[in-house]
Amino acid sequence: MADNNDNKLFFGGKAADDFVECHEHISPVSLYLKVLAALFVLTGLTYAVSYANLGPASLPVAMIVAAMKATLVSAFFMHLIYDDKFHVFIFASSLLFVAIFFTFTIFDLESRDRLSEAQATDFRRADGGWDDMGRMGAANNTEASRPACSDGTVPMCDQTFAVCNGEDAHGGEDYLVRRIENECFVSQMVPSVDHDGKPQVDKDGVPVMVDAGCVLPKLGCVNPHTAEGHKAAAPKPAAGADAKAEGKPDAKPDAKPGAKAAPKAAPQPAH
Amino acid sequence: MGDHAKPAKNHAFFQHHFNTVGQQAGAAKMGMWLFLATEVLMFSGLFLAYFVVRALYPEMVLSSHELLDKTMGGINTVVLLTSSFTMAMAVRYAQLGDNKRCATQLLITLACAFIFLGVKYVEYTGKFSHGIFPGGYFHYDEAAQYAHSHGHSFRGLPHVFFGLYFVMTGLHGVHVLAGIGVIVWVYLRAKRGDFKDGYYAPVENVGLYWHIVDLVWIFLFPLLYLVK
Repeated sequence: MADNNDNKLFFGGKAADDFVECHEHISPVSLYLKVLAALFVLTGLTYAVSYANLGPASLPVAMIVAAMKATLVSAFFMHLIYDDKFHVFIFASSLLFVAIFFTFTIFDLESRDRLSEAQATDFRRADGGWDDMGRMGAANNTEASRPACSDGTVPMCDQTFAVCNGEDAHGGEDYLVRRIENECFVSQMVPSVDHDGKPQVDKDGVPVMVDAGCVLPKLGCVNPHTAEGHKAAAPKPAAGADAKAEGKPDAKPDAKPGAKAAPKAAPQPAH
Repeated sequence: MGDHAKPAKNHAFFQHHFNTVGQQAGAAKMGMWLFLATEVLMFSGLFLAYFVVRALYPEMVLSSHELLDKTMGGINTVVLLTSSFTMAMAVRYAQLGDNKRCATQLLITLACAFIFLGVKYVEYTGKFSHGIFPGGYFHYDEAAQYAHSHGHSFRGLPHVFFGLYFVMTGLHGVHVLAGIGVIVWVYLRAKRGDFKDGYYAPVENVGLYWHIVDLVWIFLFPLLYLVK
C-alpha cells in the first residue's frame, strides 16, 4: 500500500489510508497451456458434433460449447477471474443488455403474426425462394399448394413478396403486375384501380392489368372494390383479358374481390 | 498460482495526473473494458440478425451454409485460439519486464493474424469465383450451379444468408486488421524496451482487444460453418 506521499490515492480530497489498486496477476505458463489445450479439445468437439445429426439439438449444443470456450478465454486469457470485479461488472452488463435486446426482439417475432392477423394486415413472408430457374418464390410453391385457376391453368403467383398494407399498396401492385407478366400462367386479368377507384394507366396510357383471379384476393392490399368495380372503372381492358372475364357467366356478383373474374380461384382463404 | 511481481512506485511512462501507477493502469484497463462492452453490443446486432433470419427461414440458412468450408473455418479457429494463447504469453512477459520474449510472442501472434486473413482471402475468392458475392451482386444461377456440383441445392433466398456471412465475417476481419495494427505498435514498443518496472498496460489492453476478436470468432465459427 501507499507508504509515501507521492503514491497516495485520494478519495473526496482526503488521502486514503487503505486502498486496493488494480493489482496484477501473473499466470504460470502451464495454466495458459492447459487452457489452450482445453480450447482445442472443445473446438474438435464442435467440429465432430457437426457431422453427427443432432437435429434441433445442434444449435444449443454448439452454443453451449462456444460459451464454454468463451468463458475459458475471458476468465484466463483476459484475466477476469483474478481481475478487479468492476471489469467483470462492465463485461457482464454488456451481456445483460445483449440479453434484453435478444429477448424483446424474439417476443416481437413471436407475437408479430398474431398482431398482423388481429389488424387484418396480410403480411406474408417469402417462404418460397428461387426455383431451379432462378425465379423467386418457388420453393414452397408446389403444384398441390397452388389453387387452380378458373381456366384450369396452375398459377405461379401464389407466392408473394410484397408487404401489402392497405394504404400503401401501389408499389406492391406494380411489382405484382410485373411478376404476373413474367411468370403467372393465369390470365384472369382485370384493370387495376387506385384507391379512389380510378383506373390506373401506365406512361403510354395503357391500362394497368392485375390478376384478379389468383393474386388479389390473397393480398390484403387491394382497395375493397370488387372485380366489378375494377371492370366498371376500366376504360379499355386488353382484349384477351376482357374476353376471358366476360366468358364467365357463372360469376357471382357478391363474391370477394376477384371472384367475378375468377370464380374458382377466389374462395381461397386469405392467410 | 503465479508469482506477483513487485509493483514499482514509478515508471518511465507514469503520467502526472494519476496518483499512482496502479491507478493509471486501472484507468486504462477500465477504459478498455468499456470499449469491449461496446464491441459486444455492436456484434450482438449482427448475431441477432442471424438468429432472426435463421428462425424465419431455417431451410434457407441450412441449405446455404453447406457451401462454407468447415475445414477452412476450423483451421482459422485453431489459428485464432493459438494467437490468443501467444498474446496472453506476450502480456505475461511484459508483466515480467522481459521485452525480448514479449516481442517474440507478439510476432507469433501477428503471424497467426496474417494466416487467418490469408485463409479468409482464399475462402472469399473461392466464393466470388462462383458468383457468391455480397448483397445485390449475388449471381443466383452461377451460385446454384456451384451448389449443385457439390451435391447441394439452395432453398429459399441464399443471398440473404451469404449477405449475413460476408457482413459478419467482414466486420470481424476488419477487427483482425485493426488488431494487426495495434499489435505492430506494441511490438515496436517491446523492441524499444518500453515494458518494465510494472509498465505493461498497452500490451495488456491490446491483448484484451485481441481476445475479444477471438471471442467473436468462437461464436461465428459454429453458427456460420457448423450448425445444422
